[in-house]
Amino acid sequence: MKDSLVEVNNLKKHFHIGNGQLLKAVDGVTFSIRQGETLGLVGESGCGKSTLGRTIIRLYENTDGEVLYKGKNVHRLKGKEAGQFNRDVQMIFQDPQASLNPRMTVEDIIAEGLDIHGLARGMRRERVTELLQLVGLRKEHASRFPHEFSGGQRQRIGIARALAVEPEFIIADEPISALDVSIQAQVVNLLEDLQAERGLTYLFIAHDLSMVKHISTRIGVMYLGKMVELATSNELYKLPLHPYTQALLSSVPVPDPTVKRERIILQGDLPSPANRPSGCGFRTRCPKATERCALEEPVWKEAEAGHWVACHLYD
Amino acid sequence: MEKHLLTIDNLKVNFKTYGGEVQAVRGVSFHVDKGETLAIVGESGCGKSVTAQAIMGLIPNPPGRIVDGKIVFEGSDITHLTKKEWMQIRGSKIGMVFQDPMTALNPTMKVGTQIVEGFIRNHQVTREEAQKRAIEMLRLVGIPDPEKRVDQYPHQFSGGMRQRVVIAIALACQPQLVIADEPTTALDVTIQAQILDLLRRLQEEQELSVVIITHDLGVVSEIAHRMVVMYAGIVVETGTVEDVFAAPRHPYTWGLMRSLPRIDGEEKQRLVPIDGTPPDLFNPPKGCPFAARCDYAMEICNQQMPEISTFEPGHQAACWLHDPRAPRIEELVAAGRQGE
Repeated sequence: MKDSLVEVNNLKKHFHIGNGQLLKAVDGVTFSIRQGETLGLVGESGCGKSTLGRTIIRLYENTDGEVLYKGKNVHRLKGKEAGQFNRDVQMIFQDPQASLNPRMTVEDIIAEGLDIHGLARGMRRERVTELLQLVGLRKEHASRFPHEFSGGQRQRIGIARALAVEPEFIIADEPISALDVSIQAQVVNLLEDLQAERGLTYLFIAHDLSMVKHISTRIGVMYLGKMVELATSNELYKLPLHPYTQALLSSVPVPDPTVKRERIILQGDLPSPANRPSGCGFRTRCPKATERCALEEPVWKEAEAGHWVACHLYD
Repeated sequence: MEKHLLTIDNLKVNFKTYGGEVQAVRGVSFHVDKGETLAIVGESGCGKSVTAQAIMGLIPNPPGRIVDGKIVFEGSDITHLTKKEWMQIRGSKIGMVFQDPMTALNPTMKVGTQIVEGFIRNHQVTREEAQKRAIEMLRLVGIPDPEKRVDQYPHQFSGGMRQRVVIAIALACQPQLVIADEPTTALDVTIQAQILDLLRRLQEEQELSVVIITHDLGVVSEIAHRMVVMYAGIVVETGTVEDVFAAPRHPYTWGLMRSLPRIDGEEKQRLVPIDGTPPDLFNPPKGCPFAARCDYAMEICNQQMPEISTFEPGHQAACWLHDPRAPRIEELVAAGRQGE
């Protein structure tokens, strides 16, 4: 595809979980991320969205398939190219408490990447100050430790650390889930401003569908290790095709008591990814499932221009 | 006063810590009527969970203590009961649903036993009757195959199923009031929808009163009749859900509503965050606690705690902007509506 920065082709990540069992956390996912866009990734816990993000950034080795970054297979990178990839692609984590080393000062946390990549020699302090100001913190904060900050401020430190090495592509794994609503909006606005200023590309992983819709250009929906639907954010919310997406969207509580919506309440729970149903993974909870869904796995196809779905209803 | 099921009057709760005494709840008043669902909303540290704990007699003492105020349930003062007296009320008259169903359940006990534990204590029943009751409760909360499930352990249940078990425990003794502290926060959205649906159905069928603590305004609008908005240990606004959503009167409520993206919204709008962070409750400001983050703060706001203004019946806000001496009030209320 044109302009795509990242191409993910049939990517699989399986984990051995003992007793000879295999957990297929990510099981054959294909999509691409375009230069400058925000791709949102939604799904419930255990659907593999975080594993997917971590496999793309090489925190995990892939089991099968490939991830191409600017046309190069990221799991084959070596030496200088690997170093450049580690600089170009950064990650922001969910829990800013757990992802910042409590024994390091903010300055050392932010400058760690700079030191490793040998950037900013002799102007370390200036760069740190600049980055702090960029994310809305002050110069004096550089000498403090993570515990001296609030949750929202810590997430800003995490963002400053990611930005220090001037990345092109940022994977944000639930960056606002641990924050209060009034603080979430601050961080989301910051991410949007930084994208506009620096032409960043984001992979934004979250389970809060309203926020994902707000920030994303396109959205991918995952269920049990597979992507079930991918479309532009407006189209996905207006015309969701997959029954899972429809149920997911109708489950989101709308903060407006005057709106009465038709609600699809799914029966049952998410099956364990270690014990995936045959055929379509969603068939056990799908209100529209037929016999065919148990026998055949639906193919990932483009139902309408730019709108991908994996469901037998659209064959 | 007597007609309310539960009345909280000027409740104040402090906690002693090494850093000093935290004033977690600083004069909270509200009431719950029979058969209604009241939502308490606010951000972390606003005192909503401490208020709930006080209603259930669960403030750990020390370090916590109720320094002032009254909690009246069914006409009797339950503010300072002994442990033994609480045993008579908790479970049988007031049920509880906690946030994390994994930690709320005992992992070494069959779920059936946990469900009827309180029931057996309060009623003279045989084992068979108790077992029957446990199965009945599991069926009530929508657990399939309850005859088999009743003898299983919590780890054999999924998150949503565990929360159903916790709800079954809360309802086993047919309480009049259920306190649910963030009952769906740990759950996925499709499971959250199931649990909210269940709570709504049970509330109507059993004519329960429910106090639901949440930070999610979406959940409030789905399930509650009235709401209380808390900030830094005080109630800043209260009213019916319809009134508060249609015309929020406190700048903090405006801010909360504007900072949320809408899933059913058409155009992309920039979010309007509330700048700054909540005040330190070791040393709370003497005026309005929201003044430092408020776009409309006046001099008086930093000096003196605002008085309560009433709009519709039962719709109240604690804000100086509604004082007759405050400037341009109508415009500000209109500004609050823009964010919807």
